[in-house]
Amino acid sequence: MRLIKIKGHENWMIFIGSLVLFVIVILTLLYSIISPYDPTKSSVNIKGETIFIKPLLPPLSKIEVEVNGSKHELFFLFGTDQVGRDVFTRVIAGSSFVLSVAILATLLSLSIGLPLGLLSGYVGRIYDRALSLVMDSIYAFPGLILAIAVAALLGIGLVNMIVAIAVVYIPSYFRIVRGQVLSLKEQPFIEAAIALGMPKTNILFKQIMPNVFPSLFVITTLNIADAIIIEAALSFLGLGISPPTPDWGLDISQGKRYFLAGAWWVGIFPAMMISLAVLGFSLIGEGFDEKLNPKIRTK
Amino acid sequence: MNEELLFIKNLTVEYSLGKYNVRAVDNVSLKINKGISMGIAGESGSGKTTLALSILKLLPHYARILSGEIIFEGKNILNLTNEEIRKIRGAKIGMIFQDPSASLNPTMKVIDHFIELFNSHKANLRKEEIIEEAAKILEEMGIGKERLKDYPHMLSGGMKQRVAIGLALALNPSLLIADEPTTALDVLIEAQIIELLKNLKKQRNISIMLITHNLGIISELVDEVSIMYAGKIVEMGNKESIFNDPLHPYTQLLLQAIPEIGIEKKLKAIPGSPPDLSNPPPGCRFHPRCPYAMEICKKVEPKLIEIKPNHFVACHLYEK
Amino acid sequence: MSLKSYIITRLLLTIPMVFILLSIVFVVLRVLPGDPVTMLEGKDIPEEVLQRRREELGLNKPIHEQYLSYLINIFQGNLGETALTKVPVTYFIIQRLPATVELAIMSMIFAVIIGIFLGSYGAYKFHRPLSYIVRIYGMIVYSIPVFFLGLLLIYILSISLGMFPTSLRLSPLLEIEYSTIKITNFILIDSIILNRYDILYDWLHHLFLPSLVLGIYLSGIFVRLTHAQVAETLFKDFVTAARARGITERRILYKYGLRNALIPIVTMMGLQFAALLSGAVLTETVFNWPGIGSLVYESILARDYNLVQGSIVIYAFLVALVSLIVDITYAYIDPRIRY
Repeated sequence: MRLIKIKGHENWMIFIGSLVLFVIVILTLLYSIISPYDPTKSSVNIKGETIFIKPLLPPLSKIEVEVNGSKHELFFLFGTDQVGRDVFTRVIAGSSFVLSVAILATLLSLSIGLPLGLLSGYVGRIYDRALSLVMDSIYAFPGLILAIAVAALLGIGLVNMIVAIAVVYIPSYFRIVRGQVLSLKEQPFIEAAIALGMPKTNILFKQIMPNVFPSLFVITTLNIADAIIIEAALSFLGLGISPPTPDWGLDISQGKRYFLAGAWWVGIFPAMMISLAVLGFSLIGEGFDEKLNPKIRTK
Repeated sequence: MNEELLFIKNLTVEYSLGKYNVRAVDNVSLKINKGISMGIAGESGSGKTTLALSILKLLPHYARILSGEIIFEGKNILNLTNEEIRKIRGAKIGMIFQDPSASLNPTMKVIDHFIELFNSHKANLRKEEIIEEAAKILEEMGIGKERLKDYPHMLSGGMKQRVAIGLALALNPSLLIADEPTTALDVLIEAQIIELLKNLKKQRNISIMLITHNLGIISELVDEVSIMYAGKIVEMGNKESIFNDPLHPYTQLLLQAIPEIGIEKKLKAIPGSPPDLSNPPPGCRFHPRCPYAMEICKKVEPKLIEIKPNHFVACHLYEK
Repeated sequence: MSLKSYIITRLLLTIPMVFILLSIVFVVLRVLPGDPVTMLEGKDIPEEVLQRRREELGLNKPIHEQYLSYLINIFQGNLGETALTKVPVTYFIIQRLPATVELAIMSMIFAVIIGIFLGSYGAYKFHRPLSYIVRIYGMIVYSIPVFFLGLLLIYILSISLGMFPTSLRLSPLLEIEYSTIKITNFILIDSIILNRYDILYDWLHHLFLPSLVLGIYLSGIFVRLTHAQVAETLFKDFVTAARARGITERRILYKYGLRNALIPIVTMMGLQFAALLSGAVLTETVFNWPGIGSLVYESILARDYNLVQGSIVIYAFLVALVSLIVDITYAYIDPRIRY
């Protein structure tokens, strides 16, 4: 670490968070190269022969297999699950699914909450008060329950999950954007812009929006972290995606009986991935938040 | 009347701020006798607040007392246990601060502050007795006793400061440390508070250590003055002597900078800025801004010498 | 403004909030694209059966009629009937609500205790390593999915060490007995009234693990909040001023540090209520704790439309109620709010 100097705890947070996410993303993109196993199958193809894998092998298991006279060694870093799938492969493959859902859901949420917040804050008056009251009520409502309600209605599936989760974060975007708009509205430079005859849309987009971006970034990273957790919860409850798609929450749910029976690797590794992904995004979000609004002042 | 009340001996206090260490108070000595009040004057950053906080060991965690003694009533405060110091605070030595809002707990009523004070010092008074006592104190401070049930945010700045003074003096301490007590108040209120302190000083026969950058109010309240610059005392002694005949160039500039009503005078600012204490200038710390700086001033630190009776100055100009 | 008038104003504000929440539930369950009946009943059921269900649920009527009867029904206390047994949904909810309340209260107690102790101690020792650990505690706890935490603790404390039962609210035999003698359905109250301390103990024995799990899950933010608040307060000037008056360190930590942290903590308790309810769904499911959290899950599994709607409506009311209580408590503790 002598090349890069990282001073300040918030910079460390951003660094570690980014590092964690970077590793996850790299592993996800390269998993087909790293691992010979198919995450959805409990068998592996060696030289044309399909070999079935034993379920519930503990981590670091090595199995010797003979195919056409030649010996091959199969290695399972994280062991195998209750159906015989390699846990490592499954866990890595799962991240592409989970991360896509979380990120897409958050972006969808942003695309709805941002314009609503901008308009509401800018227009003001009774429309703003009414919409704010609605948004505050949704915000107060437990996110998971809301997502469960929507998911229960729409059914399982990738798109439905994304929509269900997106609904949860719309109020958070709305509030943050609206809050910024309200405080920026009074600022002298906006008054100056109006006095200079700038059209309202211009003011909205060129003046107000760029000031909103930093908070938006922070909220987005934190929402993605939260979305990962909701996604895991939804799939755990069976409202997410159906097997055999690799998904961390689903794996924990399907493996829970075996986990409780002692096959700890079936549950620990997916859970660990959830934690790492959430921590990655949280660290980045909190790190930037600390930069923008320093909270811990020792002096 | 010549009995020693507080004797600060060679006190050095250092702040560790990340990479830098700053000696906010560097080898400072001063003495306050019973019945005498002292003013400590200087710019911000001169170390006067650090000095005040050190007396009651209220320094933040990143400050360290490197050396020196603080003798109060015969004992070195720096050697006392935490519990012994706690007993002195409020009871033997009282302190008031610059920001009256910051002296009171916003979620406690005025009377609660008094109850807490008395209970912490085991005054063994019943609640009704405390209320009575508190009412008396408030009256002495010029506040009606109906204010006892108010919360701090319901009082004006001046009133809050009076309450703070009342709390500081409630247990009859012999010394009151006042750290910029009127800086946060507007001029009219400031005058009232100074007037109050004057009366209290007389009635209670208490010593006041007044810390301020405003030389104007010092003259009304104190008997002796210490001028601090960059962590050191540059001039010290009898108030009249110093005000009538300021010896140190810094003191002279300070006094010139006071605007006087009725007298047309060019407002003279002191050129330059206070030194960076993480890397103080060698020799006399004032030499970069001193109009009379000589060669020796850049190399050798001047010591405090008694030039006239009870008038000390640390300046090479007077070393003859 | 006095406390009384604040309470009245706040109460009046609750009414629109409840309406909005109920409307949101309505919109989600009926207006959003997607046919609830097909979704819930499944795709293999013949169309006539589905049609009949739609009739039963009144889903064929125009939307505004549905909305009106929905609201009227709710305020009459009628949440419909379950598909299978035709038992009123309200009955189920009343039956299971006490269990969730028990879990919620106990979890909140755990969460706040963990939060206050870890947080304030960490703040007091601000520059020692403990403080840094305390600061990341929150983030780590947040990142562990609560249902996994539940499974983990079940494995460690229940299965491996055998200290606690793995699920349910009472042991099966006592459960049967209790169902015949219960009065309020709150085990704490009932067991004391009936002098059945064996039931009380059994209940506590079952309650411990799920509320510990949910408590740990919630504690993250309390630790972090308490730590930040106490640390900030301890650095404040009026703390130095109090020290200058000779107030004891203990009193400063508790009356000053914690007291000024109480306000945010109480607010946070209310804000965490939403997290509590979400966590309850997962925790109750994992522990088979018979509350309304697991009711949501079971009703979805059972594809019972009215039950799903009913449990979510209850959540809406709970949220509005807790929000009200929190605001009033807040106003009571911090007098500055009322003025």
